[in-house]
Amino acid sequence: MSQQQTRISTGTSQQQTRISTGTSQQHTISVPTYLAVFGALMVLTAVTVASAHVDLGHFNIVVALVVAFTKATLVVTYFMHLRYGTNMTRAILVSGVIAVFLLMGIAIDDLRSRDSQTYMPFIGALDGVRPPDAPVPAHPPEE
Amino acid sequence: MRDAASGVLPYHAHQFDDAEQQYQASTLGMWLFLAQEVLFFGAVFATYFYYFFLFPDAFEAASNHLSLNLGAFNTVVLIGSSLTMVFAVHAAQHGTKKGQIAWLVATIILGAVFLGVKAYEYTHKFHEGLVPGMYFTYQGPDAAQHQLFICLYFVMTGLHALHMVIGIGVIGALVVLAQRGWFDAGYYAPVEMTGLYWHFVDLVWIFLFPLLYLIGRH
Repeated sequence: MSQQQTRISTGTSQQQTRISTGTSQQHTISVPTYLAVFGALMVLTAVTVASAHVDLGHFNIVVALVVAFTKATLVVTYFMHLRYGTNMTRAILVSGVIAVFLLMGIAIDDLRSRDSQTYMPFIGALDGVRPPDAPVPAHPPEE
Repeated sequence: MRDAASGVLPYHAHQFDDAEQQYQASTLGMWLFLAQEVLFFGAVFATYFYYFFLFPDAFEAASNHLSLNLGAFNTVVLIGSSLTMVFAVHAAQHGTKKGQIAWLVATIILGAVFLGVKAYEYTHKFHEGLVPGMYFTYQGPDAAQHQLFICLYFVMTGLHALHMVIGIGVIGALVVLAQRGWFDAGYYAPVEMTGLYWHFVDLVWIFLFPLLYLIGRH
Protein backbone atom coordinates (compact mmCIF):
# COMPACT_ATOMS: atom_id res chain seq x y z
CA MET A 1 0.00 0.00 0.00
CA SER A 2 2.66 2.44 1.02
CA GLN A 3 4.84 1.21 -1.89
CA GLN A 4 2.05 1.93 -4.30
CA GLN A 5 1.57 5.38 -2.89
CA THR A 6 5.28 6.07 -3.26
CA ARG A 7 5.18 4.95 -6.88
CA ILE A 8 2.21 7.12 -7.62
CA SER A 9 3.76 10.15 -6.00
CA THR A 10 7.02 9.52 -7.90
CA GLY A 11 5.06 9.36 -11.12
CA THR A 12 3.36 12.65 -10.42
CA SER A 13 6.54 14.45 -9.51
CA GLN A 14 8.22 13.15 -12.67
CA GLN A 15 5.31 14.35 -14.72
CA GLN A 16 5.44 17.72 -13.02
CA THR A 17 9.15 17.98 -13.70
CA ARG A 18 8.58 17.23 -17.36
CA ILE A 19 5.79 19.77 -17.66
CA SER A 20 7.77 22.49 -15.91
CA THR A 21 10.80 21.75 -18.13
CA GLY A 22 8.54 22.04 -21.12
CA THR A 23 7.32 25.48 -20.15
CA SER A 24 10.73 26.82 -19.23
CA GLN A 25 12.17 25.72 -22.60
CA GLN A 26 9.54 27.61 -24.58
CA HIS A 27 11.03 31.03 -24.06
CA THR A 28 9.03 33.88 -25.41
CA ILE A 29 10.82 37.03 -26.52
CA SER A 30 9.25 40.27 -25.30
CA VAL A 31 7.60 42.81 -27.60
CA PRO A 32 10.17 45.57 -26.83
CA THR A 33 12.95 43.18 -27.92
CA TYR A 34 11.16 42.50 -31.21
CA LEU A 35 10.75 46.24 -31.78
CA ALA A 36 14.44 46.84 -31.00
CA VAL A 37 15.47 44.14 -33.50
CA PHE A 38 13.15 45.65 -36.12
CA GLY A 39 14.72 49.08 -35.43
CA ALA A 40 18.20 47.64 -35.84
CA LEU A 41 17.20 46.00 -39.15
CA MET A 42 15.85 49.35 -40.42
CA VAL A 43 19.07 51.14 -39.40
CA LEU A 44 21.16 48.46 -41.15
CA THR A 45 19.01 48.82 -44.29
CA ALA A 46 19.72 52.57 -44.26
CA VAL A 47 23.44 51.83 -43.70
CA THR A 48 23.61 49.42 -46.64
CA VAL A 49 21.82 51.86 -48.99
CA ALA A 50 24.07 54.74 -47.85
CA SER A 51 27.29 52.71 -48.11
CA ALA A 52 26.35 51.64 -51.64
CA HIS A 53 26.73 55.27 -52.78
CA VAL A 54 30.32 55.44 -51.49
CA ASP A 55 32.74 54.44 -54.23
CA LEU A 56 34.75 51.48 -52.95
CA GLY A 57 35.14 49.84 -56.34
CA HIS A 58 34.35 46.12 -56.29
CA PHE A 59 34.71 46.24 -52.51
CA ASN A 60 31.15 47.66 -52.33
CA ILE A 61 29.66 44.18 -52.71
CA VAL A 62 31.75 42.96 -49.77
CA VAL A 63 30.43 45.74 -47.50
CA ALA A 64 26.86 44.99 -48.68
CA LEU A 65 27.33 41.29 -47.87
CA VAL A 66 28.76 41.99 -44.40
CA VAL A 67 25.68 44.14 -43.60
CA ALA A 68 23.38 41.47 -45.07
CA PHE A 69 24.96 38.76 -42.91
CA THR A 70 24.54 40.96 -39.83
CA LYS A 71 20.85 41.47 -40.65
CA ALA A 72 20.42 37.75 -41.32
CA THR A 73 21.97 36.91 -37.94
CA LEU A 74 19.51 39.24 -36.18
CA VAL A 75 16.53 37.68 -37.99
CA VAL A 76 17.67 34.11 -37.28
CA THR A 77 18.53 34.79 -33.63
CA TYR A 78 15.47 36.75 -32.53
CA PHE A 79 12.65 36.44 -35.11
CA MET A 80 13.36 32.75 -35.74
CA HIS A 81 14.04 32.12 -32.03
CA LEU A 82 17.32 30.31 -32.63
CA ARG A 83 18.64 32.00 -29.50
CA TYR A 84 16.47 29.56 -27.56
CA GLY A 85 16.70 26.74 -30.09
CA THR A 86 18.47 23.44 -29.59
CA ASN A 87 22.02 22.76 -30.75
CA MET A 88 20.50 20.34 -33.27
CA THR A 89 18.60 23.14 -35.05
CA ARG A 90 21.75 25.29 -35.05
CA ALA A 91 23.80 22.43 -36.51
CA ILE A 92 21.22 21.90 -39.27
CA LEU A 93 21.26 25.57 -40.29
CA VAL A 94 25.06 25.83 -40.14
CA SER A 95 25.52 22.65 -42.22
CA GLY A 96 23.24 24.09 -44.93
CA VAL A 97 25.19 27.34 -45.00
CA ILE A 98 28.55 25.49 -45.10
CA ALA A 99 27.34 23.40 -48.05
CA VAL A 100 26.47 26.59 -49.97
CA PHE A 101 29.87 28.12 -49.18
CA LEU A 102 31.55 24.94 -50.47
CA LEU A 103 29.49 25.11 -53.67
CA MET A 104 30.39 28.75 -54.25
CA GLY A 105 34.00 28.38 -53.16
CA ILE A 106 34.78 25.43 -55.42
CA ALA A 107 32.89 26.91 -58.40
CA ILE A 108 34.67 30.24 -58.11
CA ASP A 109 38.07 28.66 -57.50
CA ASP A 110 37.50 26.62 -60.65
CA LEU A 111 36.70 29.81 -62.52
CA ARG A 112 39.77 31.58 -61.11
CA SER A 113 42.05 28.74 -62.23
CA ARG A 114 41.02 29.10 -65.90
CA ASP A 115 42.19 31.72 -68.38
CA SER A 116 39.66 33.57 -70.47
CA GLN A 117 40.33 31.42 -73.57
CA THR A 118 39.39 28.27 -71.67
CA TYR A 119 36.25 29.43 -70.01
CA MET A 120 34.75 31.35 -72.92
CA PRO A 121 33.39 28.25 -74.75
CA PHE A 122 31.84 27.18 -71.48
CA ILE A 123 29.50 30.18 -71.50
CA GLY A 124 29.47 30.42 -75.29
CA ALA A 125 25.70 29.98 -75.37
CA LEU A 126 25.52 33.71 -74.68
CA ASP A 127 25.81 35.36 -78.05
CA GLY A 128 28.43 38.09 -78.32
CA VAL A 129 30.14 37.35 -75.03
CA ARG A 130 33.67 38.71 -74.80
CA PRO A 131 36.42 38.11 -72.26
CA PRO A 132 36.27 40.74 -69.53
CA ASP A 133 39.54 42.32 -70.69
CA ALA A 134 38.51 42.68 -74.36
CA PRO A 135 37.94 46.22 -75.69
CA VAL A 136 34.36 47.45 -75.92
CA PRO A 137 33.20 47.90 -79.55
CA ALA A 138 32.10 51.38 -80.55
CA HIS A 139 28.85 50.14 -82.17
CA PRO A 140 26.58 47.24 -81.27
CA PRO A 141 27.24 44.22 -83.50
CA GLU A 142 25.03 43.90 -86.61
CA GLU A 143 22.33 41.23 -86.54
CA MET B 1 -9.59 22.72 -23.02
CA ARG B 2 -9.73 20.35 -25.95
CA ASP B 3 -9.45 16.59 -25.94
CA ALA B 4 -9.95 13.66 -28.27
CA ALA B 5 -13.36 12.78 -26.81
CA SER B 6 -14.86 16.12 -27.76
CA GLY B 7 -13.85 15.54 -31.40
CA VAL B 8 -11.31 18.38 -31.40
CA LEU B 9 -7.58 17.86 -31.94
CA PRO B 10 -5.69 16.74 -28.83
CA TYR B 11 -2.63 18.72 -27.75
CA HIS B 12 -0.27 16.08 -29.04
CA ALA B 13 -0.53 13.14 -31.41
CA HIS B 14 -0.27 9.64 -29.98
CA GLN B 15 3.28 8.96 -31.22
CA PHE B 16 4.70 11.72 -28.99
CA ASP B 17 5.33 11.50 -25.25
CA ASP B 18 4.08 14.99 -24.62
CA ALA B 19 3.39 18.35 -26.22
CA GLU B 20 6.98 19.48 -25.67
CA GLN B 21 8.40 16.54 -27.64
CA GLN B 22 5.89 17.15 -30.41
CA TYR B 23 6.89 20.81 -30.53
CA GLN B 24 10.60 19.90 -30.73
CA ALA B 25 9.89 17.42 -33.53
CA SER B 26 8.02 20.08 -35.53
CA THR B 27 10.86 22.55 -35.02
CA LEU B 28 13.46 19.99 -36.10
CA GLY B 29 11.49 19.11 -39.24
CA MET B 30 10.98 22.76 -40.16
CA TRP B 31 14.68 23.59 -39.79
CA LEU B 32 15.58 20.56 -41.94
CA PHE B 33 13.25 21.91 -44.61
CA LEU B 34 14.76 25.38 -44.29
CA ALA B 35 18.30 23.95 -44.59
CA GLN B 36 17.21 22.45 -47.92
CA GLU B 37 15.80 25.82 -48.92
CA VAL B 38 19.21 27.32 -48.12
CA LEU B 39 20.73 24.83 -50.59
CA PHE B 40 18.03 25.55 -53.17
CA PHE B 41 18.58 29.32 -53.12
CA GLY B 42 22.30 28.76 -52.54
CA ALA B 43 22.64 27.24 -56.01
CA VAL B 44 21.11 30.36 -57.58
CA PHE B 45 23.31 32.64 -55.47
CA ALA B 46 26.34 30.58 -56.51
CA THR B 47 25.39 31.18 -60.16
CA TYR B 48 25.14 34.90 -59.44
CA PHE B 49 28.59 35.04 -57.82
CA TYR B 50 30.12 32.92 -60.59
CA TYR B 51 29.10 35.46 -63.21
CA PHE B 52 29.78 38.41 -60.95
CA PHE B 53 33.39 37.27 -60.74
CA LEU B 54 33.47 36.94 -64.53
CA PHE B 55 31.85 40.30 -65.32
CA PRO B 56 31.99 42.52 -62.22
CA ASP B 57 31.91 45.82 -64.12
CA ALA B 58 29.02 44.83 -66.40
CA PHE B 59 27.01 43.49 -63.43
CA GLU B 60 27.55 46.70 -61.49
CA ALA B 61 26.39 48.74 -64.49
CA ALA B 62 23.40 46.44 -65.14
CA SER B 63 22.34 46.78 -61.49
CA ASN B 64 21.39 50.39 -62.24
CA HIS B 65 18.55 49.18 -64.50
CA LEU B 66 16.65 48.46 -61.28
CA SER B 67 14.86 51.07 -59.19
CA LEU B 68 16.67 51.61 -55.89
CA ASN B 69 13.65 53.36 -54.33
CA LEU B 70 11.27 50.48 -55.09
CA GLY B 71 13.80 47.92 -53.86
CA ALA B 72 14.41 49.79 -50.60
CA PHE B 73 10.67 50.32 -50.11
CA ASN B 74 10.08 46.59 -50.56
CA THR B 75 12.86 45.79 -48.09
CA VAL B 76 11.14 47.89 -45.43
CA VAL B 77 7.76 46.31 -46.26
CA LEU B 78 9.13 42.76 -46.03
CA ILE B 79 11.03 43.29 -42.77
CA GLY B 80 7.85 44.94 -41.46
CA SER B 81 5.90 41.82 -42.42
CA SER B 82 8.42 39.74 -40.44
CA LEU B 83 7.69 41.97 -37.44
CA THR B 84 3.91 41.47 -37.77
CA MET B 85 4.57 37.71 -38.12
CA VAL B 86 6.50 37.53 -34.82
CA PHE B 87 3.64 39.47 -33.20
CA ALA B 88 1.21 36.86 -34.55
CA VAL B 89 3.33 34.08 -33.01
CA HIS B 90 3.57 36.09 -29.80
CA ALA B 91 -0.23 36.47 -29.71
CA ALA B 92 -0.64 32.72 -30.29
CA GLN B 93 1.81 31.94 -27.45
CA HIS B 94 -0.26 34.13 -25.14
CA GLY B 95 -3.54 32.78 -26.45
CA THR B 96 -5.18 35.95 -27.74
CA LYS B 97 -7.32 35.02 -30.72
CA LYS B 98 -8.05 38.56 -31.91
CA GLY B 99 -4.35 39.43 -31.83
CA GLN B 100 -3.38 36.36 -33.86
CA ILE B 101 -5.91 37.08 -36.58
CA ALA B 102 -5.09 40.80 -36.74
CA TRP B 103 -1.32 40.26 -37.03
CA LEU B 104 -1.69 37.41 -39.53
CA VAL B 105 -3.93 39.58 -41.71
CA ALA B 106 -1.41 42.45 -41.39
CA THR B 107 1.32 40.06 -42.58
CA ILE B 108 -0.78 39.06 -45.59
CA ILE B 109 -1.42 42.71 -46.47
CA LEU B 110 2.29 43.61 -46.29
CA GLY B 111 3.16 40.53 -48.36
CA ALA B 112 0.58 41.58 -50.95
CA VAL B 113 2.06 45.11 -51.05
CA PHE B 114 5.49 43.60 -51.70
CA LEU B 115 4.14 41.46 -54.56
CA GLY B 116 2.24 44.45 -55.97
CA VAL B 117 5.45 46.50 -56.15
CA LYS B 118 7.20 43.49 -57.68
CA ALA B 119 4.48 43.20 -60.34
CA TYR B 120 4.88 46.91 -61.12
CA GLU B 121 8.66 46.46 -61.46
CA TYR B 122 8.23 43.45 -63.76
CA THR B 123 5.76 45.35 -65.97
CA HIS B 124 8.19 48.25 -66.15
CA LYS B 125 10.99 45.86 -67.24
CA PHE B 126 8.78 44.53 -70.04
CA HIS B 127 8.08 48.08 -71.26
CA GLU B 128 11.77 48.95 -71.15
CA GLY B 129 12.74 45.89 -73.17
CA LEU B 130 14.72 44.48 -70.24
CA VAL B 131 13.36 40.94 -70.40
CA PRO B 132 15.77 38.13 -71.25
CA GLY B 133 15.11 36.50 -74.59
CA MET B 134 13.82 37.83 -77.88
CA TYR B 135 12.33 41.00 -76.34
CA PHE B 136 15.62 42.16 -74.87
CA THR B 137 16.28 45.46 -76.66
CA TYR B 138 19.08 47.05 -74.60
CA GLN B 139 21.83 48.04 -77.05
CA GLY B 140 24.46 49.62 -74.78
CA PRO B 141 27.91 48.25 -73.98
CA ASP B 142 28.09 44.71 -72.56
CA ALA B 143 24.53 43.97 -73.71
CA ALA B 144 24.98 40.19 -73.30
CA GLN B 145 26.20 40.55 -69.72
CA HIS B 146 23.35 42.96 -68.96
CA GLN B 147 20.94 40.35 -70.29
CA LEU B 148 22.57 37.73 -68.07
CA PHE B 149 22.14 39.99 -65.04
CA ILE B 150 18.49 40.68 -65.89
CA CYS B 151 17.97 36.94 -66.38
CA LEU B 152 19.37 36.29 -62.89
CA TYR B 153 17.20 39.13 -61.57
CA PHE B 154 14.04 37.48 -62.91
CA VAL B 155 15.01 33.99 -61.73
CA MET B 156 16.03 35.09 -58.23
CA THR B 157 13.17 37.50 -57.54
CA GLY B 158 10.74 35.16 -59.32
CA LEU B 159 11.64 32.21 -57.07
CA HIS B 160 11.48 34.53 -54.08
CA ALA B 161 8.05 35.84 -55.13
CA LEU B 162 6.82 32.25 -55.63
CA HIS B 163 7.83 31.51 -52.04
CA MET B 164 5.91 34.58 -50.91
CA VAL B 165 2.77 33.52 -52.78
CA ILE B 166 2.95 30.12 -51.05
CA GLY B 167 3.59 31.82 -47.69
CA ILE B 168 0.58 34.10 -48.11
CA GLY B 169 -1.57 31.05 -48.89
CA VAL B 170 -0.38 29.24 -45.76
CA ILE B 171 -0.92 32.33 -43.58
CA GLY B 172 -4.41 32.64 -45.07
CA ALA B 173 -5.11 29.07 -43.93
CA LEU B 174 -3.79 29.96 -40.46
CA VAL B 175 -6.27 32.86 -40.28
CA VAL B 176 -9.13 30.41 -40.86
CA LEU B 177 -7.78 27.98 -38.26
CA ALA B 178 -7.15 30.75 -35.74
CA GLN B 179 -10.73 31.90 -36.27
CA ARG B 180 -11.85 28.39 -35.31
CA GLY B 181 -9.79 28.61 -32.12
CA TRP B 182 -7.11 26.05 -33.01
CA PHE B 183 -4.19 27.84 -31.38
CA ASP B 184 -3.54 28.76 -27.77
CA ALA B 185 -0.64 28.86 -25.33
CA GLY B 186 -0.49 25.02 -25.31
CA TYR B 187 -0.50 24.46 -29.07
CA TYR B 188 0.74 27.05 -31.55
CA ALA B 189 3.37 25.10 -33.54
CA PRO B 190 1.72 25.74 -36.96
CA VAL B 191 1.87 29.50 -36.39
CA GLU B 192 5.47 29.28 -35.21
CA MET B 193 6.57 27.07 -38.15
CA THR B 194 4.84 29.29 -40.71
CA GLY B 195 6.65 32.17 -39.02
CA LEU B 196 10.00 30.40 -39.55
CA TYR B 197 9.16 29.96 -43.25
CA TRP B 198 8.12 33.60 -43.60
CA HIS B 199 11.32 34.84 -41.91
CA PHE B 200 13.35 32.62 -44.22
CA VAL B 201 11.72 34.33 -47.22
CA ASP B 202 12.66 37.63 -45.58
CA LEU B 203 16.25 36.37 -45.20
CA VAL B 204 16.51 35.58 -48.90
CA TRP B 205 15.38 39.12 -49.73
CA ILE B 206 17.94 40.58 -47.27
CA PHE B 207 20.62 39.09 -49.55
CA LEU B 208 18.83 39.71 -52.87
CA PHE B 209 18.34 43.42 -52.24
CA PRO B 210 22.03 44.44 -52.02
CA LEU B 211 23.18 41.94 -54.67
CA LEU B 212 20.63 43.07 -57.27
CA TYR B 213 19.85 46.72 -56.43
CA LEU B 214 22.89 48.14 -54.69
CA ILE B 215 26.14 46.87 -56.23
CA GLY B 216 26.32 49.54 -58.96
CA ARG B 217 25.26 52.72 -57.15
CA HIS B 218 28.74 54.12 -56.54
